[in-house]
Parts: sequence; structure tokens; C-alpha cells
Amino acid sequence: MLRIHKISYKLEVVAPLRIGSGIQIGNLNLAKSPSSRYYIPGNTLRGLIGKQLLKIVCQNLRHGKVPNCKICKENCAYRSLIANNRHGEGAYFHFGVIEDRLKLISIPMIRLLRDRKVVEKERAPFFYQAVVPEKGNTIHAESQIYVVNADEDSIEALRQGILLSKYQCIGGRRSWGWGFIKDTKITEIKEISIEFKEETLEEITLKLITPLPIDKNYGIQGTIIKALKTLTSLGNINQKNILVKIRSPFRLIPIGYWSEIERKPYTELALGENTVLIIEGKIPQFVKDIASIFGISLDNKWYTKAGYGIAEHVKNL
Amino acid sequence: MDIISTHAEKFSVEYDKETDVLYISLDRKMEVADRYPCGLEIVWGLDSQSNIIGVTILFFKEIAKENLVKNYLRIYREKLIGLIRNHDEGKTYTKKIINNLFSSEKEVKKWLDNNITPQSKIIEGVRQNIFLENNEIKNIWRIPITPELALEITLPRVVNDTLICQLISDTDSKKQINCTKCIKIVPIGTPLTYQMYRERDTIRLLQRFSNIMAELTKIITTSKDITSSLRVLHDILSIEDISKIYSTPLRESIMRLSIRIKTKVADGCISLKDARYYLALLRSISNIRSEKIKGVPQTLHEVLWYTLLFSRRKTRSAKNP
Repeated sequence: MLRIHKISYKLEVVAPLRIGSGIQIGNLNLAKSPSSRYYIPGNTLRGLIGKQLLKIVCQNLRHGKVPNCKICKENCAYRSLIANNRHGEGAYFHFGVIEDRLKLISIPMIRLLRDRKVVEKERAPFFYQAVVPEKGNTIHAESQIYVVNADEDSIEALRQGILLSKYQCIGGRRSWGWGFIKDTKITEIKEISIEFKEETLEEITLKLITPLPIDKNYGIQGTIIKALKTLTSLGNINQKNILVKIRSPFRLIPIGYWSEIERKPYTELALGENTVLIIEGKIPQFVKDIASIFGISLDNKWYTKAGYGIAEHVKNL
Repeated sequence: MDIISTHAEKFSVEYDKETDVLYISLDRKMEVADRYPCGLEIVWGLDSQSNIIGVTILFFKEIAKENLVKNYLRIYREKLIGLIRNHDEGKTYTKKIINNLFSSEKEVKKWLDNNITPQSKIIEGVRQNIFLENNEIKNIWRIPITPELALEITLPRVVNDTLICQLISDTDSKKQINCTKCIKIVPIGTPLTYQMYRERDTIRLLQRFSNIMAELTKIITTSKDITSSLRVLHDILSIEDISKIYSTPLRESIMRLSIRIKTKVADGCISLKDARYYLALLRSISNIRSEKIKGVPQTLHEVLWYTLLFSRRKTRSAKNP
């Protein structure tokens, strides 16, 4: 049985907010495609809260050193909750659902050459896209964190991390003050449990709520099968013979992330939201619950436990 | 019905530049009911009657590049023996091949970026079907990309909601998970199905076998209850027995086919190893046992399939003995 703590929280962000797609075309720095629903990706929220958590728990940071979890041997809350990329352990950050109606704006900018104090040729003007609410100046986002088999200290540390993210900035162009968080609120902390029953289903229909990242080395079918096998292995079941069918709508979309270590953006392929997956084979029933919390994603990737591949069970199409 | 039928077909083609995904569908305004992922890069779209009406190709630029490199390597290999003798000529030829490769790659990229991005475009292409006993055994789509190149897609068969790839066997498919054999970029002048018209006599011959065997199976199945027929059924031990019951051309035709295979070995069109396999297949038909009688049409299907492959092998290796 899995014991899970669900922490629900709300953020109030002052516009403009830049949720970049990680792709630069010409001199226009694009934000998320306006055709899809606006959300704050789970990995962005994990970065925001994780950084605050690090400030609380990291001994190296207290002594003025650069935190490095690869060298550090201390088993802190950050390591177990955030740095751990394995399924079935630590914290799962879900996407931040934006409640307000947003519009996309392009902000023109110029770049000055510092030595000559003149506008740089060929790059001026350039544009940055960002989202602003249609009414008012504040964007309200709501999200959840699911913490698996955690002790009370870890939950408290995470709670402090969320509250400390007040007056921080989120998204792209943080150094310019974009995405300033005016307020954070924890709305609910409750405990839920998932039982690993042996009952199986011949077929499960899952509808994707968030994009499902596709690993280039496994393909669509391979990625879904491998992810499902990882999820069923949490209940000590060795899943075999899975067949995946895809129902309309079907669209492949790019998902991006910014690597803080390498200082460059990365783009990967993902199955778009609302895609319906029909999974055939003897699938344990608990997969339905797990897919809606853990998501169908591979282990040890940047998108693991960041709210990607979250799917809900659909009875009748 | 014609064994090989070729029709003009309109395809709706769209390329997503951001994700490097190519969406192709028949322009018939039909809705895709199910999609089946295949290998790493391909997703087949099926309508409600399980006919393939669309295909999505992931990482298309990489596949196109791989295809073009393979094409040029094949041409290069064919000329290699001559080039070894003349070093300077070889050097110039290599340079030319590489330049051509780059220009083709640029052309494909240009087509993707300018012609079919960001909105889908209707492109007139060709669809070719090959039938045996009114069953479709091969279906090929060809879509022109540039004035010189075309995209060729060999569709798998769909049987009981399962995709059956005809280009690789089941055991190989497990090993070759990243197989993209069904996607090809070919020069626009290449005849469809690789000069199969040359082999049409063999195909017709095989279709005749198949018809005969189907009828024979039908007769035996319908007369199962009659004791005398059952006795006859148990007595069938070889092709000679079948010939006696029904007619003689079957034996004669199989003999002709084995001679044809042997001639092809002598010509260097197929390898000795392959020829042995095909002859063994034919032998298995001639050594039919009563319980295997139902498997004969399938065996003939297999023989036909390999016969189709002969011509492909010929185009590749005829100039390279």
C-alpha cells in the first residue's frame, strides 16, 4: 500500500508571466503556443519550490558553499523529495492550472552595446512573448504536490518551501522581475492511500490530461509500455504483453525545459493533451489511480515526477 | 480483378517543423478510428473498417537523411569496383556523390519547410495495390516530394486488429525495433514495386496454383463426411496424388517455378542460400501430407511474396556480380 500526502496550494503571480516553449525563431522569442491551454509546467514549480527547500535544508549553502547533491552524502529532504527521479519515492509536482483567461502579448525590446552606448545592429528591435490576464494584473494558479511515503518532517519542510516562494519570480526572464509571486497559500494537506489489489482489467482507456513525453530510443509504444511496467512494478507485478492503441485526437507537440546547469534550452516530443490511449493486456486496476497521480512517464528523466503524462480513466468514449 | 492495380490518389500532407513530425492521410475526409504505433517512428491511422488511411512519421528529417545516404551508398557501391582501378576518377566521383547527397537533403528540407508547413497541403500521388485471390497482399503509396524524389510508403496488412509487417519477419521485428523499411525516398522515375511487371507471368502462374489449391481444399472440405472421400484424403501423400485427383498442370507449374529459381541463381540474381530456401518451400508443397492440405494457399502466398522480392534483389545486385 502507498501512503500519499496531497498538498494543494495557490500562487498569485503578477503579470507578465513567460512560460516559454524553449524555441527561438528569428528574433521572436515565443511563449507557449496560444492554441493550447495555458499552464505552469510541473518542472517549473518543482524548480521554484525546490530552490526554497534547498535554502532551508542544505548545510553547504549555510556555510557559503555551492550545493551539489552528486558529491554531498547527507540524506536531506531535498535529496529524498526533489533530487530523486525514481518513481514511487519523493514528491510529485503537478501542473499549475491557471484559472484566469489569458492573452498573449509581444513586448518589443532593444539591446544596447555597453561600450559604445548604441543600439546593436540586426538584433533590434527583438520581441519577447509573455502572457497577461485579460482582466486585472494578477494570474491565479492552483496546483498539487503528492508526496509518497514521507515522514512529518519532510512534509513540514515542503510546506515551508511553498510558503517561502512568496516574493520570488517564476518562469522566463525572472531577473527582469517577470512572473513575480505576490502571494502563496496552502489550501489543503490530506492523506490518501492506494492499495495494490491483484484484480486486473483486460483493457484500460486513459485520457491524457497533460502531455506525455516520448523517448526517442523507445518510440511511442515503447515509452508507454516501459512507463506502465515501471508503475505496475510498484505493486510488485511483472507486467507482460501490453498493446497500445491511440484514439483521436492525436497530435505530437514539443515540450521544453531550461537546463540551469548547461544554460541552454532542450526540446522533446510529447503526445498532446486529450489523447486517448487504449491499453490492452491484463492491467492491474490500481494503474488507473497511479496514472492520475504519478503520470505515465519514464524513470530518471527531467520530466519524471513533474506532472507529465497524467491520465484519467475514461469509461465510455 | 487485376493482379497489380495503380491509381492516382490525393494525399493530405502536413509537416510540423517544431516537432519534426510528418502527417500523411488519404484526402477522403474519413475519420481515423484507431492509431497503431509501429517501431520507433511510425504511427498508422486506421478507419472504422480497419483500412489504413493515414500515417504519422516521427523524426522525419532523420529518416529522410538516412534514406538518402543509403541510396547514394548503393549507387556508390555499384560503381566501386571500377573506381578502385582509377584513383582520380574515384575521387571526383565520390565528391560528386557527396555534393548530390547534400543538394537532395536541402531539397527535401526545402519541401518540408516551404511547401507543407504550417498548413496541410493536398498532393497528388500514386497508390498501388497487389492482389492475390482478391486479397490485398501489398499496398504502396508514392508521394512526389521534389521534381526528382518521391516518398514511398509500403503499408502493412491489418488482420484482426493486428498489424502484419510484410517487409520483416516476426522474429526480426523484435530485433529491429527501429526499423523504417516501409519508408523510402526513391528517385521519381523508379518503377513502382521495382519492375514487378517483368514478373507478372510468374505471378499469374502462382495465382493459378493458388486458385487450384483453393478449389481442391474446398472440394475436400465439402466432401469430408463421405467415407470414400475421406479415404482419398488419407491417401494424399504427395503432389502426384493431388494431380491424379484433380489435374496435372499443378505439378508442371511447380516444376517450371523451380527451373525459374535455378536460372535466377545461375544469373546471379539471387543468392544460393535464398534459392535453397525457396526450393525447400516448393518441395514442401510437393511433399504435402493430408493434414497440411489447408496450409497450401498460405505456402503459395509465401512463395509469391518471395517471387516479388526476386525482382528487388535483381535491381540491387544485377550490376554487382
